[in-house]
Amino acid sequence: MGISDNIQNIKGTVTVQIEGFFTERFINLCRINNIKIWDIRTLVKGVVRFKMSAGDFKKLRMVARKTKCSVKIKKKEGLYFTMFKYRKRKIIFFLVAMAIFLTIAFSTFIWNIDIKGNDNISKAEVISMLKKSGLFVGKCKIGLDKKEIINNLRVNMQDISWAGIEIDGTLATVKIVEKTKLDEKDIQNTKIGDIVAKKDGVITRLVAEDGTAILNEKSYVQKGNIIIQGTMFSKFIEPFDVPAKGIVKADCSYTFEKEYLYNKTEKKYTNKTRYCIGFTINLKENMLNCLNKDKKYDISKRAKEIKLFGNKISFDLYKCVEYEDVKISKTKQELLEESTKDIDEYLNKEILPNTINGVLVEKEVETLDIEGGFKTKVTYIVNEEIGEFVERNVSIVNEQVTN
Amino acid sequence: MGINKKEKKKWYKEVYKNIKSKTQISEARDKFSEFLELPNEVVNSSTKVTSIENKNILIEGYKQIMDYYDDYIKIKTHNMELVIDGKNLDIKEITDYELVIQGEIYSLNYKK
Repeated sequence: MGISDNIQNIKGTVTVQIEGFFTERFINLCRINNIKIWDIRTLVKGVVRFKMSAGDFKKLRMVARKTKCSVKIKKKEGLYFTMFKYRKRKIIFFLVAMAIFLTIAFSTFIWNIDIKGNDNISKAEVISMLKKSGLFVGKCKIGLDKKEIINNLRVNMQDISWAGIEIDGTLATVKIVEKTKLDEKDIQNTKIGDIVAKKDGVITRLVAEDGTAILNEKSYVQKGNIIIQGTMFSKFIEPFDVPAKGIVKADCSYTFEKEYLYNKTEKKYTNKTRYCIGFTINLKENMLNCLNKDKKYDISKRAKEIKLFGNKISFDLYKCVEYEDVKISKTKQELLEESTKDIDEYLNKEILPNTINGVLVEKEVETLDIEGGFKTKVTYIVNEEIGEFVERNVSIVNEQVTN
Repeated sequence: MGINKKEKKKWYKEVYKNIKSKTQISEARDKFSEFLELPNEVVNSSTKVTSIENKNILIEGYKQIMDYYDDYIKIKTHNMELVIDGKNLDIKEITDYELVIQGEIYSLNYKK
């Protein structure tokens, strides 16, 4: 009988055996007198065994007297009988009391924080802000001021328009509603500002639809410089501010460098993995090491952190993948092929996806011999849009106007 | 003292009347249950027997257990007697209204 059965069966059940000539009558009388019996089984003729709750056992006396059956208890089950059996072992009662006390004590703390409604703000950011506001894992629920936490959270995070905290057991669910952000086009239509360069480069095309172009084509621009100013100048009227609009294209340069060696050591994994456990107290790692010192391992860590009396304690699981160093030698031709592959890959995966309408204009490859290999240096010239609308403060506008 | 012929006739008439009224009542109940689309066993207080393969039998609306052995159970219901033959027959559950019999059931007979 498992512990779960024992707990479910608190009052206890007894297996009873009756012997007599009128066992059927006994069962019928049990039913009439509301004595609940189950698992009725005839062992031999006139001997029946069944189960019943321990509380109803005394009611059987009257039924047994009427039917002239002898009643015997064959088995006792349940928490009541188990506790009675161990009544003299005080340590069990102490442990049970401790378990109950600890369960009640630990249930007064918050052990989980769930965040709902965050689409643009990351969960980690909200949790860190909640920590600053006074809600964190391990915080006592008693005396928790939800209103103050929400107010602090809203002060700390400007992107939140509404927040609410719901505590269910040891789980605190924080529901947030984010502020709706304006699109770049909407900002450009409603707010006054300039078009600023977001990258360094040489301007190849500059069309100012609204505002005044400060620079010319073929001029060098640095990141953060204003290209189209959101102010209109006229001979007849005073200068007035407008949201700057326009197309700015520039040639930007990117570089890629990599060394290629003829002889190289590489990791070869042996498909053997070992797991070790450890613990960290205040950033000091203690790994219970069971690794072979002659072999090399790639170690990755997974940790579960708790906070106890102001100290950070984490229980770690280390995954150690065994590997061997293998020396690989390659010819120059092979390395050159590898380098051309890397050059194209860098262009297509790193540069072009991060540009707006970027087109490769020029590519300059330079190879330098170094000890045991060669070094490749590539300069890419990419034509792309570099204009970015930046909202302007009114004070800056006034300064510029006076100048 | 023998009973007179007149008294005998009177008694027969009364019995006949009783039987007739009983049948009329049961017919009326049937019609009523049919009209309201109610289950027949609820209105007529008859017995419902549900069997799952030859391992379980659920009897709803029984009166009492008449005989109970390892291989034979006789149960009294409202209108008839139910006789179950089998092997290792246990009464798994027994309540005021329901009875669950478990074991290897060979046959289920109705006796009026």
